[in-house]
Amino acid sequence: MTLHKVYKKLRKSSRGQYLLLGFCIGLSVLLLTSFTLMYYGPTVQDFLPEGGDTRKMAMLLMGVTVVGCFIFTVYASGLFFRHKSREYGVMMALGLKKKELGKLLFQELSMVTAVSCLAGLVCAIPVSWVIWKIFELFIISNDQMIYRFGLAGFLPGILFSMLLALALGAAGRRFIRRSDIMEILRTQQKSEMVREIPGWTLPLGVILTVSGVLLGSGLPQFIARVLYISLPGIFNLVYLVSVSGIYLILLSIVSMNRARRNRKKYYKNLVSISLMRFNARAVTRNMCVSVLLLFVCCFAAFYGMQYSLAPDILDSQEGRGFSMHYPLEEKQIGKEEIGRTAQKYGLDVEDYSEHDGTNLVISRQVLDFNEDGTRYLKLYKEKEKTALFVSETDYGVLSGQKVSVEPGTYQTVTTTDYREFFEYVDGLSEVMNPDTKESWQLTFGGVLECDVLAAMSDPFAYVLSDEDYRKMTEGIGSEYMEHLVFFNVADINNSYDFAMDLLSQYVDRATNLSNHMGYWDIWEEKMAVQDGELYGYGEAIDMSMDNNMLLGDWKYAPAFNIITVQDRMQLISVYVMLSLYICLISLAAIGVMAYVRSVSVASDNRGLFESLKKLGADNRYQRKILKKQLAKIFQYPAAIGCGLGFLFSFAMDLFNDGRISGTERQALLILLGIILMVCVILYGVYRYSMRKAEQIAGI
Amino acid sequence: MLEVKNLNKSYVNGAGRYPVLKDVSLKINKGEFVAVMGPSGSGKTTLLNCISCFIPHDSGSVRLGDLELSNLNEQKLAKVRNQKLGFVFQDFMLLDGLSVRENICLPQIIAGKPVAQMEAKSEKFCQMFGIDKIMDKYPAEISGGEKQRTAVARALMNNPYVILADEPTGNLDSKSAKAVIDAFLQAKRQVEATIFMVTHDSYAASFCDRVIVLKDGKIYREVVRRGARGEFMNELLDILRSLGGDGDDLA
Ligand SMILES: Nc1ncnc2c1ncn2[C@@H]1O[C@H](COP(=O)(O)OP(=O)(O)OP(=O)(O)O)[C@@H](O)[C@H]1O
Ligand SMILES: [Mg+2]
Repeated sequence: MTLHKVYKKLRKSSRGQYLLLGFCIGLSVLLLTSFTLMYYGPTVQDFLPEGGDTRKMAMLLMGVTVVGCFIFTVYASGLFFRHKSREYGVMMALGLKKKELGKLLFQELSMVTAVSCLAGLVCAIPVSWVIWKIFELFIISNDQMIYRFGLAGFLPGILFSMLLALALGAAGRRFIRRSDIMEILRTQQKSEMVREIPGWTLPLGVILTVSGVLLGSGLPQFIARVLYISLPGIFNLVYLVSVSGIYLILLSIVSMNRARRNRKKYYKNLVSISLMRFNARAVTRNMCVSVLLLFVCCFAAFYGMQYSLAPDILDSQEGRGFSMHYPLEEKQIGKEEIGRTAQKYGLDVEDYSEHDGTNLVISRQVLDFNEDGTRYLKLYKEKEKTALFVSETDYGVLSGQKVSVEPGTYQTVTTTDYREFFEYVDGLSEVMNPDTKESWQLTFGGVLECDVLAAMSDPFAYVLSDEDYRKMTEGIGSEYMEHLVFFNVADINNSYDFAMDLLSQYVDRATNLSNHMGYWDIWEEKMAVQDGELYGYGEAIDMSMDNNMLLGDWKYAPAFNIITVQDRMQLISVYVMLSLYICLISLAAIGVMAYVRSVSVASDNRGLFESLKKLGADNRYQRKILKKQLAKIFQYPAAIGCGLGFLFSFAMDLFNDGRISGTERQALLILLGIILMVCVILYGVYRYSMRKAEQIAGI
Repeated sequence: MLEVKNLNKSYVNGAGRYPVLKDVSLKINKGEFVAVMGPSGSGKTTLLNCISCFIPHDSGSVRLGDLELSNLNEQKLAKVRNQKLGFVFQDFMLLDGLSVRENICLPQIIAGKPVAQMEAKSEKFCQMFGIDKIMDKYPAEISGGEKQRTAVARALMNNPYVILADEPTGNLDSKSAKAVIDAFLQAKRQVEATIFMVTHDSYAASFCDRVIVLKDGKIYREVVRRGARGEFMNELLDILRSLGGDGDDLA
């Protein structure tokens, strides 16, 4: 028998503890890595716009999940040390050197960590693939969306593993460094009672939590709208108010404040209160992590859903499904080519109409940032850029809406349901013919909604009376004029191949006349050149079908809804998938953590239940006590986490434009459904944990 | 063999400082079997833990042989615990994952002694204490008395200068307690073990050569056994009664 063999035997006898620790480490690495493998894979990366909101959100939610996984793993190591403490204490009492024990502990820890991290990293590949396949069944139906994982995704996994190893090492060091043997021998009974806390803790916690959310999501919008001040990003730290509020709420739950002051209640709950005595802090921390993870779970689900519920362009659009605008002098495809191509695909062209529009120089009122970007200012921008104008008759034909515009007024063409912030629909006050330099004052005459036309011009397209239009465009050069083509096909849902074919013909015919970036404006460029300045949007773009960003950044990109819809569907799939993935990861983390906690509550207190039985407590009483403990693991965090997730989603929706729109209401309703589902899943885990815990406690 | 001089120890907690040991001095000779008695809270356990350096003391000295323990570093202390001290705890402190034999061998395993020697020695002690039949069982499968005798055997493995025992019979019925005391007596007789035992049990204490009575952190009386065990026990009971505790709970 050697020391080595003794260690081996001791390890064998507490194999469960090693497995539990290893499992927690492996799981958190697995969850993270399977996500990053997918996220950094080319399929997802190609779709997400650089620096976009979704990337930020994915990173943020991921960050919170990582923190959650990290904390629960460190927590698991705490349980492990607790279990080991007696063994180590006895060994030290018998004269084993601390240094030796430290070495042993580190060997064991690094072994467990290395093996489980490796297992997590390796398993991440199949797990990531399987989850993708499951999503494929429901969401994606496109051969562009095959699963390609990115090796770069291993990097965060490896980094996380290293961090974890460091943290576990530090925890181990702290454990072994503890000053005297008695302390180590008695670790399991060490009291960490939270102090008696004042009665206002709970109400204060609730107030802080709610106001943190409301302030964080509402105040910046409010201040921007009313005081025209833009708050710096650091303001997001107000969310910490919510976090501290949550901590207070949990603290008051754990310390069973009310029960303690009421004597009758105190005695009724005596055993439960005493159970908290040894691990109140750990329980509170643990609940915090659960709440955080649940919040992430709900919010991620909600965020993904917002996208998938955005109104379906194909159905909501009464206008034409196909539209193009290009410089008048461009020899583009016309009615004939379109008809021929449609025939090739067995489609009928409907509602074909074409007309010219003119770009006139506008002077308008806008809202903009001041120079250092801290305040909003109302500015009058004089003769700064052009916008597209059409006559009332042409507008009638193009849009199918009957309008009449009074001479001397204009009507603004916006997208459906437009909400103004930076641009005012009635901001325009003067137009100028860029060639004759003649100007006219105009007054606002109303708003027209036409998505197709509004999309062709920034900030809006405008409609003039026939007479004004003729007068103002007289003598203007053709470089300011565009040709507009609108049409539909009978069976739009089957028009994807037709649209792609047409698009490639359009791209083929486009010459340098059309070669402009999305933000390009002819007048802006002319002014810049005149002033000898560099014009930022003057560069040429790659006008070829191989450029998959072409439609996103091309002034004269044709708008074929079916293509947009398809592209958007893919984008949405990616968004939804990312969000659901994070939702799943956090749910899995919560489930495992709650289960592990439940089991350890039962096994830590096996002695207590045995004593209770000997004192004559029946199964019902014991079960009640166990239930009270598990409630702290399941019910309270579930209620708080889900409630917070909903509140936050609601506040985001309410404050981003001051109202809850139809889709937002729908999304919130579905979120309620998801929360219900999460609760059902948690209830399942709860039932299972309860059964297992009863078994362990011998009830 | 063991000499304690002017030992002081106080516990500090949030509200203040509680002196527990006040200038305690005592001496134990080789081969002596000494008990410490006294009312609950008088500082017996604290004294023992200070002697073994399980907890630090404030001032005073603890000498073991010609070694001053007070200012040894952790490394050297470990060696002292392994080679020169043996411990017996009230709640046994056996490792559940190891068999009785392995538990007993542990001090020698830690010291890196040859296998043959430790096996022979553990067998010898087991026979001596009547636990040779259960050597391959695990702690969960043996009785309390057997556990404590295992612990005594474990404490003796490295021929320590002193065995320190804190209420070794506290968790045992009288018959098992007697078996443990017998084990101590055997050890004293056969390997000249020196034993320093804290106990509440005057019956157990009556087998000792000398009894030190502690009260409020000070040595109250010291009684040396001269005559028959029965008389010694009565003498002890009288002293304890005079302490104000009722004799019943000490008997
Ligand atoms: N870790 C500690 N922190 C603070 N005070 C302590 C601690 N351990 C013991 N005490 C106090 O020190 C005093 C002496 O305790 P000690 O355990 O030495 O008594 P004892 O004589 O062993 O009692 P018993 O016979 O009941 O075992 C007691 O008043 C006790 O409350
Ligand atoms: Mg004691």
